[in-house]
Amino acid sequence: MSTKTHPPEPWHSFFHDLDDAADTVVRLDCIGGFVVTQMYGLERSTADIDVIEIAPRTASDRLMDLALQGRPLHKKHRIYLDRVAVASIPENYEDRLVEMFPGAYRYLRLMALDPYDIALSKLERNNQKDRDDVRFLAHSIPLDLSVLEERYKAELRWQLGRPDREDLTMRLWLEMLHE
Amino acid sequence: MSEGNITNIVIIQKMTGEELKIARSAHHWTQVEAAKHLGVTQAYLSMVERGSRPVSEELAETALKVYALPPTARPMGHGKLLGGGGFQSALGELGYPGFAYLRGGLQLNPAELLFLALDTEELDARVTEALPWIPFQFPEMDWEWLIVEVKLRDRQNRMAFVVQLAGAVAEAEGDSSRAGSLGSKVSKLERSRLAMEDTLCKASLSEAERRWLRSHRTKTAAHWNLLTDLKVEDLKHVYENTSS
Repeated sequence: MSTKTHPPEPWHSFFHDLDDAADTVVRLDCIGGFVVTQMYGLERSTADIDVIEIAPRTASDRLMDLALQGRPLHKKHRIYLDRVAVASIPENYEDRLVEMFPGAYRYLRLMALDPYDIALSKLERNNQKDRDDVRFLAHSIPLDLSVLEERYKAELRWQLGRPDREDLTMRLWLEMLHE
Repeated sequence: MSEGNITNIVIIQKMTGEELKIARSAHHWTQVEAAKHLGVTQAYLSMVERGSRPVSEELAETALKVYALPPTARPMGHGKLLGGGGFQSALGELGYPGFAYLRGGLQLNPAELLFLALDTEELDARVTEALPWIPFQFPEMDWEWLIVEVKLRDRQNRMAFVVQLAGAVAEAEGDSSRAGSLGSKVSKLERSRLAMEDTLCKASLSEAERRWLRSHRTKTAAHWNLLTDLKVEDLKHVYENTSS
């Protein structure tokens, strides 16, 4: 896991500008490639920072206005916040959040999902990027595959539109990670 | 071959004197004016344009800037040492939105960048999904050179698949002219389609993934004997760049 005090550029300047625009403590719950790289150490980068929640809601609109794709901070830093609305996340993810770069910003609190929740958030899409990230997490954390499977069954499966299909995806993942 | 250890020998295509003359004419400059901008003498430029002196690498690089030539005019051969994060930064330098934050990447001809990527066994999946953006964005690139190179390296299936995806994006965008042009490039590769199974720059695929992809890939991927699940819906970045 990352022990750095703040993210590298251009992310640090991007978040610094976002922090300047805030006037109260704001929590960003982050998933996706940004967390896998900055928190869990994968050596590649991504232009978007996937967030599933920005709290409080009063601050959310203001920050998104600045930092979504095509907005001023995207034009300035060439990276952007991407509000992920459709990803299915294990139900108790908030209890397992970990703060990234604590103390780096005055108001911003960048929260990372736990690695099992990150992995499971990728199950429905399951494209090559997702499988590569899951494989990385499985080996680098390392993930306990029985915990991954148990959390899938207890906290995610019931939320999914096509659980039978995702059962097959989970089976693929387990086979892939056992190899 | 790993992404960090590329030793491909790329045929170096140098800029020709005729191309320099065309660029000068497009600017409506006399040789005297152009020579001043290029930092050479008029006599030397005259010899270069006539072909009695080669276009030096230094002059070619200056000409690219002075004449504001597009990336497709860049000479081939500069990317043979590309490795590590080089693909990402070279794509960013060309304007690919997903890596636009990586400034100062190696300036490569798009055709060469595509060839080098296709000829790599292990690419980051985010680089692989960027590949259809290249033919979509630079439909005027040097296809003749590219097709020869990919055939020499048995990469035609990978290339045809990538170009077909780019064409599908163009079709979805309502750009039938671009879709038709890209489709004709795919047709040229049809007769040289390879029967061997391949990955799309992902030799490290596990056996479980290989089995799964054989039954879950698109018809296009199956046609080109590729184990990949990349599809048009994954190429939002190609659409995004058309409006930026």
